[in-house]
Amino acid sequence: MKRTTAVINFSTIIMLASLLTVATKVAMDNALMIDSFLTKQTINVDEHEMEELRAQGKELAQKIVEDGSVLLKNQDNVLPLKSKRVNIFGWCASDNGFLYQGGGSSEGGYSADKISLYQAFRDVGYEINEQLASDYNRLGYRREGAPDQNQHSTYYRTYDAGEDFFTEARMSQARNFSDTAIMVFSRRATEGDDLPKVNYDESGNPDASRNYLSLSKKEAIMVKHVTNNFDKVICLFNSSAPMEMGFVDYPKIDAAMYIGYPGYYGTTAVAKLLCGENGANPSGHLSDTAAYDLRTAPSFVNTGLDATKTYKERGGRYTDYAEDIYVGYKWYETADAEGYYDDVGLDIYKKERRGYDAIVQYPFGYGQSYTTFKHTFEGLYKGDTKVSATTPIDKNDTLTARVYVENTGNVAGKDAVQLYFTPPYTKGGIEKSAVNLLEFRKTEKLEPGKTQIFNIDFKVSDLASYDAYDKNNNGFMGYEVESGNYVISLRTDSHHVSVVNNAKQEEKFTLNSGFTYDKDTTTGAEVKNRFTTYSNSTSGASSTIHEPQATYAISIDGNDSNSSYNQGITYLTRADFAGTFPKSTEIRRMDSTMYNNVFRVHDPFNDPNDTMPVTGSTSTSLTLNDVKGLPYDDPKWEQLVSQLDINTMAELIAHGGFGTNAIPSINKPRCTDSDGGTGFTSGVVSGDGGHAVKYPAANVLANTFDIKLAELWGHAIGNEGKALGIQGWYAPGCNVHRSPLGGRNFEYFSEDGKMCGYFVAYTVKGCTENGVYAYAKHFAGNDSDEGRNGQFKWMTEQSLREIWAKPGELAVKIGGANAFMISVDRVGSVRATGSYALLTSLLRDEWGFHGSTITDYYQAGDTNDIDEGIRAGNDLCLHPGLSRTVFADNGNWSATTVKYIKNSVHNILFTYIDTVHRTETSTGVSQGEAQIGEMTEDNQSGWWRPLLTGVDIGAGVLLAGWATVTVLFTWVLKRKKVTA
Amino acid sequence: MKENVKLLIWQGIASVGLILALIFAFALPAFFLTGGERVITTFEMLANAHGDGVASGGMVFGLILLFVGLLSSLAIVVLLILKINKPLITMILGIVSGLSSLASGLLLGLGYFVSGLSETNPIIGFNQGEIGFMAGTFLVLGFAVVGFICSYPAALIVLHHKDLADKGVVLEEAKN
Repeated sequence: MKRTTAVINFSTIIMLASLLTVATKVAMDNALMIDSFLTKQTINVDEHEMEELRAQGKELAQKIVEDGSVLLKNQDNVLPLKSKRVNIFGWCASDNGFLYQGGGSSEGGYSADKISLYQAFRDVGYEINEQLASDYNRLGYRREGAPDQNQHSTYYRTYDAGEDFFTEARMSQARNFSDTAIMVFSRRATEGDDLPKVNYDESGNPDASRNYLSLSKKEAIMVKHVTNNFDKVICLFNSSAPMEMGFVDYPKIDAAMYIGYPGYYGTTAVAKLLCGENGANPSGHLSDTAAYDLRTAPSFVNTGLDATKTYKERGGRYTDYAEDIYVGYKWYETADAEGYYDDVGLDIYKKERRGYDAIVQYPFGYGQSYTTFKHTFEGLYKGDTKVSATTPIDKNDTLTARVYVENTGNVAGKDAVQLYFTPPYTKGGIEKSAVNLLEFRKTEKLEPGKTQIFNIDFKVSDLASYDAYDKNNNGFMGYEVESGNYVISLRTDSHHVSVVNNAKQEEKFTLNSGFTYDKDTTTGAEVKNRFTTYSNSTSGASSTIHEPQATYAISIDGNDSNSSYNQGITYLTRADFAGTFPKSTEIRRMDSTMYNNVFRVHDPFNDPNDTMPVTGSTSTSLTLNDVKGLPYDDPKWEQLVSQLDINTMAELIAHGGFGTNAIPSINKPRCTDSDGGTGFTSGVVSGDGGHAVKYPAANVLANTFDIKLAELWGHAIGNEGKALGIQGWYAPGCNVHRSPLGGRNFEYFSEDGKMCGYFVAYTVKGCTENGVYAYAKHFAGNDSDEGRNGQFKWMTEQSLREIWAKPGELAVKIGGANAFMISVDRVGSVRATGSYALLTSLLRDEWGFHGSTITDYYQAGDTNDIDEGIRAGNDLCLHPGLSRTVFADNGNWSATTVKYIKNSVHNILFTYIDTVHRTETSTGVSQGEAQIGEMTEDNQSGWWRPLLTGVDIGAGVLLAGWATVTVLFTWVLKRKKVTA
Repeated sequence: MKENVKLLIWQGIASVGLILALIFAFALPAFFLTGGERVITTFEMLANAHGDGVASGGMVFGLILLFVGLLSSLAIVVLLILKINKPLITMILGIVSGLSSLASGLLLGLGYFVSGLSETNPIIGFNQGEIGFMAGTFLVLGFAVVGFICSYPAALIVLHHKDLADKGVVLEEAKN
């Protein structure tokens, strides 16, 4: 054999051996994933019952859109439409253009369920211009691309017809068809991104003079032609957040409605609203502020692709929440109160606006109706006593606002009751918004002339602000209600106080001395700074961040006396809005000290004083049924968890993606946890057999201002869970609309932390009391998605408590949340999943949370670490392919690790059985009887391991033989031949 | 046929294979998800905006190697067209081309595999629908292997010449 042949043989042998070795290694490393891939899930379900549940869900979805669509403008009462012949303009209305839902983990559902916008109009009895619809469908655009930073120019393209489309022939045909034209504007949003600050055309060319939520050039062409040709012009906004809608002020645009992402069934409700079918009447109110120009928001420069900076030298991304507490309307109202916009003018269509009116087009809470309402603030009561300016008020008092809402129009309708408060502010003191949402309610459908009375309770402590720096120098860091004048106002939106007979509907009282709250008013637990390292040189008050799992923790605001850690961030302050309005952040540097002590994951801390906890105990034989309904800290829990062996417990924690393991010895079944911020997506078998309902976006639900609908939504999710064999839900979203550019605003409820909190709480309550536990996500500070995954989020503790973590707090205190998904980013410098301050000190110790927490999709490296996590208070890894090997001391368990593993297992089991208990208590039906559908898994993965082993052995033998033959024929026999 | 022409044909095929591998890597989707009616491209996986970086790190390196392999292969083709006959250089470039092609094919193929398996991985699996591998996954690996195999002649040219020389010696000895 020639040497060339020998080399070919040997290199091929080496190549094949390498290939087999690497492939085997990869396969074994991903064995659980392969098993999961090969396991078919089927649902045994009573199809009739399932169809009934789905029908209920669809009905609820339509109700949410009917109550959550916001009528922005209705000039000359052009709506409801008198004629049902309409032209629908805009590619965004077409079958490929209309958006039903946001992207990412919420994306999914049974696409055949979709009711297109055109079809919805047909279904409701409209006659639409079919020629025009067909022309738009034939434009052939298709939304493409994927959500990632390098595909913004593809994913966020705006498509519409150009000048050529609007020929005289086409417009003439449309004019002859109807004098009414509806224009539709859609904008994508997705997990993994924030919206771009440029506007891409259909070819991906950027227009830097507009952002993605601005009108595109081609849309402007459409607006020009449509307004020139039709008498009645209506705009529909199909986006995750209010767009820049200044053009709606144009007098030739008669009406406008924000419909958000309506889910697969909501389009019918939109069509009904436009014509008032069956008494449909818009009653939605904006859960976000709609500004003329997004750049006026202080969060703008620190949002989006250009705002998530990467540290020089050692990487790691960061975002500065430099706007502090001035988010959404809290900024615009406070800026107005401080006269910040007094000199600003805006001339739109020859109608000049000044000050606030030149900045904000539609305030938070704004929404019109086909009828009119009178809102009367009858009075503020302390018990039976009407509060006057001098009524003594105690720190623990509950006050009651008595409000009347009367339908003064001609048709039945609903309205939102919005109660706000204005606290006293001292320049340089505690940061306070001039206007704060205190409470809100939704009326029933009121017939003309009918009135509904509301008695709205709130606690004096609800008026408190969090003083993280002892800014008023009273020696106290915590919640405070300062002395001074308080105004409780009944408003139609955040800016406009209701007026009746020329009288503003507001009540005032004065506190002569302030109150401090060193105990949580719900749990009685100690309240103190958990995240801030600060010393007030005047008062002497000081605090230090406590993060025992971190080698070094920087104060959450980024201020540190050591230059290696100090971020030097200037936060917006009411004392000097002009001087502190956030500017584009300079790129900072991460030196080796910060990299090693803060950024990296370190070895897990083990306490040498820990003694090995009991595991695998046989002294008791309890099951989950024995602890059902018992308090979290009942001694039986310790006995139950001690029965489990360490490997079972470690696997339960590690293999926590999209479900948790069964533990037959204690009667814990396998649980299926489904993703989907607007209804189940994962874990749902596709096709007719088990698809779930695709609900409208969360902000559409919030726009209803109706927390009863949130509870109904949660309840409906529970019903679906029972039918589909799903026990857990990765939702609802508990983050906040920090900016309209937020990529996942459609999963989150509002720009107001309290409003988010109410909706999260009641959604959680609804499903947890109906068989499905909800991992409210992503606690906390995951309010933007651009550059996520371990990103540093710098903020003040005041803003964390008052805004970013507020939804989580209310979910626990009102909704009884027993599960959370934790942010994939950092809270300040500390991984949220490794933050003891967040997950133990605040969530559990202060707010009284009992239950389990799970990572977002588990990522190794410097993003997640389960050893750190269980010690800090994170209980589960969201990954379907991990095993106990993820623990650093797997197989050689330390006493400390076992202690925390037992704690996490306790939390995981508590979440499950607490949900069962609450469901049974609430419904009176046992969990076993309530379960309609049963998820069965047909595990067909048994064959591949033996096959791979066989292939490895067979190939090994063959390759060895091949090598032997090559050696023989190349050298040994050849030498013999030569010798011979 | 002359040796240089044979080499040119082999290396030409290798170059075309690697060019196709590169094009397919970016032009063809690697997976589809029926639930969301989406296809997943290499580009998306590489961006790693959502993933854990395990697959994408290796895939980025795989793409770099694919470039290296292609450049080496094209260099051999150019040298052969220019009739610059340097067996040692051809051999070195052939080895680089072959090994780079193989390694890139493996890295990209395994990257696809790992990403594709993880149907719930945020890189690709935003929803659990039916997932399937698409042409991109197989064609990239397939054409990288074509590049590897067709680089053998160039990589072994020096050895081949020695074999020929040995053969000449043996024939000479036989004659004697």
